[in-house]
Amino acid sequence: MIIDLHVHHCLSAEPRTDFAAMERLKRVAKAVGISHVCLLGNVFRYGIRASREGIRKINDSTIALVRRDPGFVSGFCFINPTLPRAVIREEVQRCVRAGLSGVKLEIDLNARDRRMRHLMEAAADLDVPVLHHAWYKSHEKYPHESDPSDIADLARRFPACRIIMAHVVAAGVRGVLDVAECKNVMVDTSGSQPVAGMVEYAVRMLGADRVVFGSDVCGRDFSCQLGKVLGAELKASDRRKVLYDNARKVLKLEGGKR
Amino acid sequence: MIIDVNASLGNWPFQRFALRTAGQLDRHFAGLGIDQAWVSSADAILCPDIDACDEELAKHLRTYPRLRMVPTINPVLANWAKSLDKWAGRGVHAVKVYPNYHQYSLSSPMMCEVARQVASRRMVLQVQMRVEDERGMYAPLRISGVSVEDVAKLAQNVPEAAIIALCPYYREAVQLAAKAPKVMVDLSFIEACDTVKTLLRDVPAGRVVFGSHTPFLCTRAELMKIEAAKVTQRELRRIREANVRSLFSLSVDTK
Repeated sequence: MIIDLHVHHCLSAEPRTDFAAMERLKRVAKAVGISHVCLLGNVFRYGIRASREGIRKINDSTIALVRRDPGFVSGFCFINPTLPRAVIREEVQRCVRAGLSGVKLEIDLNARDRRMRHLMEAAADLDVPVLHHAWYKSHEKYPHESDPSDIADLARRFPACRIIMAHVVAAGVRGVLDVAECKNVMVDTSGSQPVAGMVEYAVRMLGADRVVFGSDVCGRDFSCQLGKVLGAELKASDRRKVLYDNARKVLKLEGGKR
Repeated sequence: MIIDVNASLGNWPFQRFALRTAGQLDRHFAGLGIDQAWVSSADAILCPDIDACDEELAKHLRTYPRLRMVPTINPVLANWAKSLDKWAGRGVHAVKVYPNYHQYSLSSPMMCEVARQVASRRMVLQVQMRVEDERGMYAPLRISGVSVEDVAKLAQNVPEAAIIALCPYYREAVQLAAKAPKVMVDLSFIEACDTVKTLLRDVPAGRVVFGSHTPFLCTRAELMKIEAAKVTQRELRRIREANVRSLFSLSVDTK
């Protein structure tokens, strides 16, 4: 059993009707043994700092896909944290009631920004994790993009909130060290090419309980990203935590299914 | 059979490799079913004395027939022709160039001369388009990737050269297929959902070879791209080995 906690459904202009694309994605995932995926939304569908309406459409699409195939699909709601507090709270509540399991944040607002408070408080109140993009870039950095030190700052400000820092391979050694003392932070294994040694390093420094498999499909490949974990020098019990146990707890799945 | 055209041995200041000896590399490839790996010196990328790095590499690889030596040639160095002669005399089948690390253009007259001499010895020319994802490079040492246009110009200037472009991104592999019909690309930096099947819609199977970029990247992850590929056995065979073999007999149809 393998759960992929970081999947984007890059759907067409009419996302609610694009179930065929999801079926194709499912076939590709199943072919390499992935039994469950967590959809994070088509996050760039309406650009950076998408409007309330755009966010709602993205989340409606995720909700529709989760409801259609709950045995294979879980989902997080996507939020633009620069939206007004009431809008954020209402949308997170709506999505959680509809069956989504967490919140995904991208590059709309840097994690150090004070405005993050509204979203983080809503997530803590609803007891759902926040999966946040992070990347150490020396090149092509987006204006509000967060790096792992920003995530560490966020985690310290909101210790009651569970945070999953995306892209540990792109965070690198420095990024892992940034969040090592923040016990409310897990990392996912996605990010960049399958750089050798990073999964092992994350497990060594954070413990296997704090590392979870994520592929970042559809920009990446299930097979290659999974191979990064299968090819890592890990104890079998640690590999199982990374590939399955940790995500199952995050998604509150029973026996790998909703 | 699987031939990996993109492997290295040595040190790299920005990554601590787990595979640090030829024996470790050989056992690693054997365990993953890789029958032949083309290995260059990682030290030769930044060290000015490339020949010393390559001599050391040759010494390490000597007892491992699975690991095939690929020396580095830097046309900026005055001794490049002598080095090429020496390695050709020792029976190497390919050489590698790092134009952006060694700071010359692929369309420069000296590089064209290297390509001509490599081709005249029936050797393969490997062009390393990048070593790392540019976004995560150590900031004071930011090296841009080699451009598709430069690779295409080299292929145009020296049509007899058998060229493998290493570590292109997906979009670059597609552009190369259009602009440089004879140039082959390795899979190491190419990734998309269902990588190989998707790629073969845009790039002919006869133009793709397996390269893992070990030890920079995780070999198993790269292998899984071809293990999971839902393409024909014939296409897979081309990627795993047949295309590489065809480079030594350029009359083979690569479509």
